[in-house]
Amino acid sequence: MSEMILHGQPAVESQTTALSNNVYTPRFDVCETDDEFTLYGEMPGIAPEDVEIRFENHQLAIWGKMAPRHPEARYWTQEYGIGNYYRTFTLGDAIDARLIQAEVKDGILTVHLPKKAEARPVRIAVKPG
Amino acid sequence: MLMNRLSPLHLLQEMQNSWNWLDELTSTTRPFVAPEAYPAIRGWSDDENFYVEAELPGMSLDELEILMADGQVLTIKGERKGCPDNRRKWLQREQGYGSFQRQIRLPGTVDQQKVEAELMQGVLTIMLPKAEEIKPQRIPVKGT
Repeated sequence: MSEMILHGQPAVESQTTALSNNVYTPRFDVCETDDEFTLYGEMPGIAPEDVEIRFENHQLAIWGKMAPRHPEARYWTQEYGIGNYYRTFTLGDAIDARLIQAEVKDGILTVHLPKKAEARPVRIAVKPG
Repeated sequence: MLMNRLSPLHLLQEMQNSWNWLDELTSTTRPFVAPEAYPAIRGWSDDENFYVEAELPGMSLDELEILMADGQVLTIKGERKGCPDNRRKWLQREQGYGSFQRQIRLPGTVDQQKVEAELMQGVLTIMLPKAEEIKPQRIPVKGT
């Protein structure tokens, strides 16, 4: 956990105003295996081409651009809003940034953050003395 | 008490007990807050149909059940299953898992036989055709 600081601060940047003024912080599950960290984020309605992931200076920034759905409709209930998704994660040195991969399926964004070889656990055999 | 290797979980349990105790003592002075209804919905209508939309990321159609009753009561129920892989170590879990059921009364009666539902990219959209008697009708105006 020490090598991964997680936080989500929605920050509005000018590039999103063209689509929607609302920015939502998607919820993420984070898990670790020997080989990688994996992020699973809820981004319902998002298409793969509308997700932009940038890694810069230990910061992983995830943008999901959402156009409004049915903007003309006459609503009788609106319990949630629709807007862009934004979330950042601060990553430690253990991650090999060149091998980061992401996919979207059923509204879940999965980001694979492979660990560098030297950060992976090694099993040490113990010989009888 | 002689003890070695005191588990931090033990200490957490002690803390938890204190909180439970505090919670119990103060529960009568707090207003009752209903648990958040899941899933949240958006509903709209046009002349022909009612529409209900819910965000259900990571769910498949076979985990979902949609029921209509009395021509007006819509029930969405299902179970959001977590990832069963035990080799993983979870560092953070913000998503919710488990069974849910949401029941709403539509603004008018619908033709139950013709209700259609679609799940795309984690967004469930249900189209409910309005019953004939509640569709808007054009009234001809006669001149004299």
